[in-house]
Amino acid sequence: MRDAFDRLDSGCAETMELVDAYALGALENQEAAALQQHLSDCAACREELSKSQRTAALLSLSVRIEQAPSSLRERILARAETQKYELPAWRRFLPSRRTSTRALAFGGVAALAFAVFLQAQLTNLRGDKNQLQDQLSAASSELEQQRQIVAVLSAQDTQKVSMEQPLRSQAESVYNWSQDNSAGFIVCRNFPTQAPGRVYQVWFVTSGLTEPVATFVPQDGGCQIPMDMSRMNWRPEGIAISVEPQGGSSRPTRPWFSYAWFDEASKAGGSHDMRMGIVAAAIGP
Amino acid sequence: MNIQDVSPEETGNGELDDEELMRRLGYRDLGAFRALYDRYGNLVYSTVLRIVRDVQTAEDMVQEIFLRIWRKPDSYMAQRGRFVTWLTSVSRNRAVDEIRSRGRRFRYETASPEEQERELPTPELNDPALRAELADQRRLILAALTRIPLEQRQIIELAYFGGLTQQEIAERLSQPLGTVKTRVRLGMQKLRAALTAEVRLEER
Repeated sequence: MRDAFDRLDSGCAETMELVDAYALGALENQEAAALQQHLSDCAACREELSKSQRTAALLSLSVRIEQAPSSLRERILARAETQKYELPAWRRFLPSRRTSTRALAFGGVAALAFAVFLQAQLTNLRGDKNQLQDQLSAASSELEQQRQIVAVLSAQDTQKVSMEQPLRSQAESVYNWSQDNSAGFIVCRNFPTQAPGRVYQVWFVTSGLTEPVATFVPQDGGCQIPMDMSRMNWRPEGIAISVEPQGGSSRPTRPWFSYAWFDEASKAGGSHDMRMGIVAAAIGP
Repeated sequence: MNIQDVSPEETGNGELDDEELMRRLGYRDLGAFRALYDRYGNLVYSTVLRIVRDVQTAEDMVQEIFLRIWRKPDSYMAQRGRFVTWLTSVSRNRAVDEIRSRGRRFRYETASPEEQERELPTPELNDPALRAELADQRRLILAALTRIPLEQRQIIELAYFGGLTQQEIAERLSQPLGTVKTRVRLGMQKLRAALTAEVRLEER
């Protein structure tokens, strides 16, 4: 591992040799990890990779076009039809098996109520259109966030993991995700307020590889952070949060504030090893 | 807001671009979804079938891919590239995940160079299933692929459609790893050069 990193850090030439294989998904995990590490610091190599990825994406158009069975079309459209008129988000949570979703459900109710309230305002008031427009777009982005969260929670394959807090603070965070939806979200509470100019940053991780996902500032110690994984070209093995300067970092500069591995199997090595490994990854080589 | 379910013909969905159809999915517009399926169902099916080589698995996967788009249209972000290449990349990745999860042996059996050679359609082949713009682009890509040396093309296809790493390709073809790496690089460079204009289309 060490060797791979050193070799790549020595310059872009070797990285350029690997981007095509990476774009084709043909690198071994360890090579891909080293490459990713270099890419996070090098805009020129990222551009090179992006060109290569766009070329690779065109390869799909070279396949022999087969006629999909018409029964498949009917099946898909029928399924979509049944998913069309969905219950309002909050109603689906009433018989919920997952207690931790309750707080979110109320978040959804609040967002819906807010939108309804704004609609009412719109019909009652004729003036002040701009302000109402702003409020409406704020409400719809809030609704959109809720919709993403609801989509994850209502997927067939939703999984959940409580994140560990190495600093033993009162903070709690839980990560929910759905492989089917290529999406997930973090909910947190009791996150301490950071000094001005510092934010929390979310990362996807494997051993030795980190990808920045989002930065956030908790409100009243709480957060709901939806995440899109559909464009990830490597499979994260865990998720972590660190405290970083405003605007976020390209790689973590502080030990994890909180983290979790997705796969129980990854924990087989023992939680002590996992913690040491992941903190080492955070601090970097 | 009250959105009626109307057919693509009534709304003129057939004329709308992909990005607009995707936007309408956000409003649960079933007509837009139907139009997208009619536009790309065969392409997604063919891409997935090329990789998993089993009709039943391919059908299940196409259903999963399209219903995921229906449930979560915002997983596509228009500013990051064209819809069609996003869709085929998602399809390819999902199918490769599937064959990888079945293990190395399965991939070795299914990704034979001889089959790859037989499977490349001729660029002249007219495909009524594809829209004119896409059919033109497909002709260019097929032409570019036939111009690069066979041994380079096979390796690119073993990686992209076979889900094999360079190391696995070297074992599969009994070639030195260095040779495989060089051929990946050369082949991709030639493809990029031949498809410069097409690659630029992907930029936003």
